[in-house]
Amino acid sequence: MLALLLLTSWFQEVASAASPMGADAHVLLREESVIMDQTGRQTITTRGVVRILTPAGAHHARAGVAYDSAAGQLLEFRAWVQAPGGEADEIDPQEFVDRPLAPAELHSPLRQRQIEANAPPGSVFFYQSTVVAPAAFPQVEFEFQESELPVHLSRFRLSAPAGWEVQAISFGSSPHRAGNTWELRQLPARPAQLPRLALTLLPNQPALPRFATWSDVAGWLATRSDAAAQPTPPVIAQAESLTAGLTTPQQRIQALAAYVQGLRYVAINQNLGQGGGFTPAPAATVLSRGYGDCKDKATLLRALLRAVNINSWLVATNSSDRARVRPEWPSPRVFNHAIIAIEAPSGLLYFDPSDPHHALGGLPPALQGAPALFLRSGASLAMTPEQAGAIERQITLRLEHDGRVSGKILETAHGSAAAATRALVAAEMYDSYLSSRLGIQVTQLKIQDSFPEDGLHMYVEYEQAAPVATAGPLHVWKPLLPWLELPGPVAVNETVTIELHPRWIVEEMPEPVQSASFSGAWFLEDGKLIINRQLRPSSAGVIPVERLPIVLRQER
Amino acid sequence: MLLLLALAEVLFWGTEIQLPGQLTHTVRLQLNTPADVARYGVVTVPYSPTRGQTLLGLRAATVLPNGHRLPVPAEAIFDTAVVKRGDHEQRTLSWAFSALEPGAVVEYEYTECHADGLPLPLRLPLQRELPVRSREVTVPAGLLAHYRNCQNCRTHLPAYREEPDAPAGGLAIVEITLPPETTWSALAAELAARFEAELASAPVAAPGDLETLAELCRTRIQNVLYRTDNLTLRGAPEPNPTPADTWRRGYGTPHEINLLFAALARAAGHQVFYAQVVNRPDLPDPSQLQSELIAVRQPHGYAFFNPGVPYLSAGLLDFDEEGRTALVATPAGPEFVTLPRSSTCQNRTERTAHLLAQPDGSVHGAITLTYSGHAAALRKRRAERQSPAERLAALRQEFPGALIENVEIENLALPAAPVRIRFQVTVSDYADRSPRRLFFPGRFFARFASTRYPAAGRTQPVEFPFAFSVHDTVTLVAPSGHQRVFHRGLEQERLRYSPAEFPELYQKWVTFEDAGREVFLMERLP
Repeated sequence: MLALLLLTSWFQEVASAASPMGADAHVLLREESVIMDQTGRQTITTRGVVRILTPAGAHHARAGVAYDSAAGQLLEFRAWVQAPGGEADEIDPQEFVDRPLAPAELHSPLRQRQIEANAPPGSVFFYQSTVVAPAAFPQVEFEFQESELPVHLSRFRLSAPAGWEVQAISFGSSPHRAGNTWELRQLPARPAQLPRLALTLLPNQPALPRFATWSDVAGWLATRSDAAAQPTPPVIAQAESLTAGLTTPQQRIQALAAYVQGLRYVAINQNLGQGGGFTPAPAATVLSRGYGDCKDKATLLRALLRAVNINSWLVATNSSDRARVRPEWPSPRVFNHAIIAIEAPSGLLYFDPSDPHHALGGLPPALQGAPALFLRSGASLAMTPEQAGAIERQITLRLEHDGRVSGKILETAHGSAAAATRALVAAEMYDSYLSSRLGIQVTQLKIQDSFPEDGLHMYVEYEQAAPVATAGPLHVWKPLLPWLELPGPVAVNETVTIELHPRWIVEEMPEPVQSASFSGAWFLEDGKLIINRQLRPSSAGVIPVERLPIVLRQER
Repeated sequence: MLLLLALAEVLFWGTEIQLPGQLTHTVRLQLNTPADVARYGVVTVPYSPTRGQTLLGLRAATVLPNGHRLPVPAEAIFDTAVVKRGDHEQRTLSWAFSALEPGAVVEYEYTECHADGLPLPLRLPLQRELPVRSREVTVPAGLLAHYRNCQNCRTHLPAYREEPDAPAGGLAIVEITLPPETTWSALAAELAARFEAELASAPVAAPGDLETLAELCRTRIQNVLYRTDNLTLRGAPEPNPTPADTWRRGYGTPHEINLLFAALARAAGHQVFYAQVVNRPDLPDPSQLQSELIAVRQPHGYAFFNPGVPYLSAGLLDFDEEGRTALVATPAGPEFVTLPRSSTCQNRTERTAHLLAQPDGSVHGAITLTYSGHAAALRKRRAERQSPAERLAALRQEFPGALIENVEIENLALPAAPVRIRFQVTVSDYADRSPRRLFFPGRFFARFASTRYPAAGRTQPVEFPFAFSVHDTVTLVAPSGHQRVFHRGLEQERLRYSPAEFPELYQKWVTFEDAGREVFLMERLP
């Protein structure tokens, strides 16, 4: 019992804190202590205390710890539940679940151990874990708040070797600092920005990298990746084979990019403690395997381009959370994706060889207008270009006397709009996607894809069984199809021409609709209804004019 | 370029069974398109060391279109613990084939070893998501192979895709068993003897007809298997040696509750027998016996009861049991009986909406949902695992885009009573608006239903787990400043989740009431 009390003095520190009204659970303590040794190796102790307040909050009685099963070690992970008015019971270690951290990767030494406790309202769940983690560079991050719950006390402690300088940057809030301890108290639930602490340690020895500027980061990453991009004889032979007979650099770039884009994305992560996550496999290895992850594929393309005397650079980005890349904190940690920038006669071409659906020169929306770092010495943080997609669509409809509708869609898509369609076609889901999202029955679908050039042409014939609703002498019809979810900024120009059976007489049409980014207008011309709607690339929402009805009357 | 997507094909899929506990699997797969290469270029084989399984002798290779063979090196095969929890461990072997291109063949072979011998009966699939050109199952002497759901089970098997609400038993399989060592007569005698021994105890009696007794068992006895606070039976109470103990203690397992019902029915003068659902009547083996029932002799056959399943209203069996074959273990020998199905009337959903239309096109009002029979039992079982907040969240998901408030849910804990859910609803932009008119669709509930079975790509028929009916009534009051100039019942329409391509099946299973399905036209008053 004494041991437990000593162990959980941190629990006692917060156990009597009052909880706010209205919360399902309350984080009483969120604490992390990092001890860094001279090699950059970190011993990380994490502690948490969560009070469960309502049945809906019971699922917050859980904790997890990630560790490197190859180069690191999970030294300890224990958890307890203290029932209301009772003593703390330690959870049986047999209840802990251990899983790969990134199950989608073919192999990774990163694992996570988790516990989900049965903790009724009024009980307190608390845990402690200790992990030894190798680190390729001396930087540390801490999120003071992880979830939507309010936090009573959140604390980070650092112990660094003597003589090392510690540079701290905080985001979202300004923690109280005492020496190398940072603290925030009484954090409300769901803040606009999660408070985060980012630390850079500047070692006094040359064996570890110093990241004072983005140039330091770019240089360090380039050192880890440049050797892999050297064109070996098999790579040169492949490049020559792929570009044989092609006369212009643009054609050669196109051919090599298409080849690498066609290789499979398979992630195998090894030696993470030594910076393996930032080190691509040699180009020749990727070539012989025929697969690789993002940095592997981009590096193979670099090597192939270099073999035909075309310059290119790896570019580090974040494909899921661009806000993590903050200019004031130079770090490799903030990147999770690698693409390539190619020096073409027309200028710099950005390309993501891991994305199978975007043509050369086009980036997925998540990577457009995003912070990026060229992996070359002297580079600073840059922004990728923004490239709006485009859709030109013509729809012709015929409303039969009995209310049936037959329609034809002719569409040309470019950029991310074409890529989105391409992805659905590749997954063999496109016609079912159209049917379910548009509420139509597709009777014919033809696609002509210019890939790997930009541009995708689509022709659809469809039917709608009974779209016209009857309301006494009047009939209500919403002839426009809803717009499918647009992949980022896309310019859309849609013209709908409707031929009405002579039995139908237009009684009432919607009024024009206009906003800063959108316009829609209805015309009656020579017995035909013509509708035009346009969207300029914008993050603004689309006005759902497809819900506006045309009111019809039937001639007796 | 016109896109033509050809399916990959399994050229050969072999399973060689070796006693006492080895299965050697061999697969050769033809990849035709870049999509095939992306989809089938990585293979993952699961195994469970906890269950005494190991994988041995894995060999894998790419065979290029030019015939060149590229083996997958041992260091490129990864053995990963995908789940470890206490003594339980689930692992996988996984690898990626090298240098894949359309036209290549991938092949792999491995032996699955079972330290405790083959888990018989062993069900081996003959189909997978790709068509199979040749399927070979080699069975050693001493075991029997029973092929199911296929005409030609060895060559040119079509692709099989899992689809929601497809009829059970669609997948072609081969079932490997030991030769029958018993007969249904012997098994029935054994079941009957055990049943009589379990019933031979201190007598227990209660007044009422059979339905009343079954209801009494459900309501008076706490079903420990389904206890909401203890789903894993951790710390389960002591077993009840006799039905009298179950009666006295007030709790029991499903089996103990069934025995109690049998004892009560016998005490009331009924002839009572033990029965079990039989998976395959042609294969006399204990492994073919599934859920248990109590059969009560009637003038023309049997009535079946299963009060061990909670939340079933009078006359219902679990829907998994309906329509199946049951073995009734009578002293005279086994009798095989087809279990009755419940009707659309028993599994009824009533949805009532009293709505006030607003000039801005929104509606606000009161909703009452009432579920009976299996429709109610499903909700009650689901609710057991949900907190009140989760129940509310689930209800909100049923009405996407609507504001739901003041929710009251009744009868979730009562076994036989219908579940009733009442709440206030507000739906913005409900009406279709033209410059001069408002059109309020009367199909209020259909607005929230999405297409459940997209017509495109569906390969299997739809079979609902039980027959059901849905009855909607919608009342809509015109907003102030508007007059309702017209309303009329629409022509009958299918439910939104009706599979249009399978109307016969749909009509067989579902009845539909058209009352209240109207479009209301309202015009602004001058």
